[in-house]
Amino acid sequence: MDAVAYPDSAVIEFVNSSLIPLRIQADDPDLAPRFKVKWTPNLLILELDGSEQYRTLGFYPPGELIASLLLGMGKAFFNRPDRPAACDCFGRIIRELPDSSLAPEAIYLNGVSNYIESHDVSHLIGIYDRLVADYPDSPWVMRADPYRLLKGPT
Amino acid sequence: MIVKAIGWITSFEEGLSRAKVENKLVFLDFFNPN
Repeated sequence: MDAVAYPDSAVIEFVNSSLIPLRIQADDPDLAPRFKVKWTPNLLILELDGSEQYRTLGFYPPGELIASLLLGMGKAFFNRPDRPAACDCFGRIIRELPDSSLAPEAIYLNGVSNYIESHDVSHLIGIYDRLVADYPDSPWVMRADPYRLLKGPT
Repeated sequence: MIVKAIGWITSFEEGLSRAKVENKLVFLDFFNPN
């Protein structure tokens, strides 16, 4: 991460403006056991009270790291629940980083967030349609498959 | 001014304090220093 992702200007700008960046050694005698750290890189998004909202393991190139952080932020906002803020994060992945491996998950969570807010099933149907159209090989198509049944007979 | 590095905080307590003051989520990186 220090060699490629963290020196990237877009990553620096995104992290410094959007998050509180906190770096702890993986062998910290208090925090490593508390967060069950067994491997690095081990990247987490925490709420203001320190509770874990998202975690991912392994190395990321710059664009994918930003997508992963946006996904984690979106999940944290979703859990509050602050779904408009969550949709803002998921929407940025969908619009600005459509080639990210995380874009299909963002489409799924964005549609779910909009459905919870509106109770409009078109948001669930939209998840399925968008995934089938743009990411047909994604495993998220399988997770959205029941939503195609909401279309009713054609 | 162009910021050329991530402004890492290395104290957990300070990180949470800053998060509350700035109303931002925390990005926590557990890293291997070796």
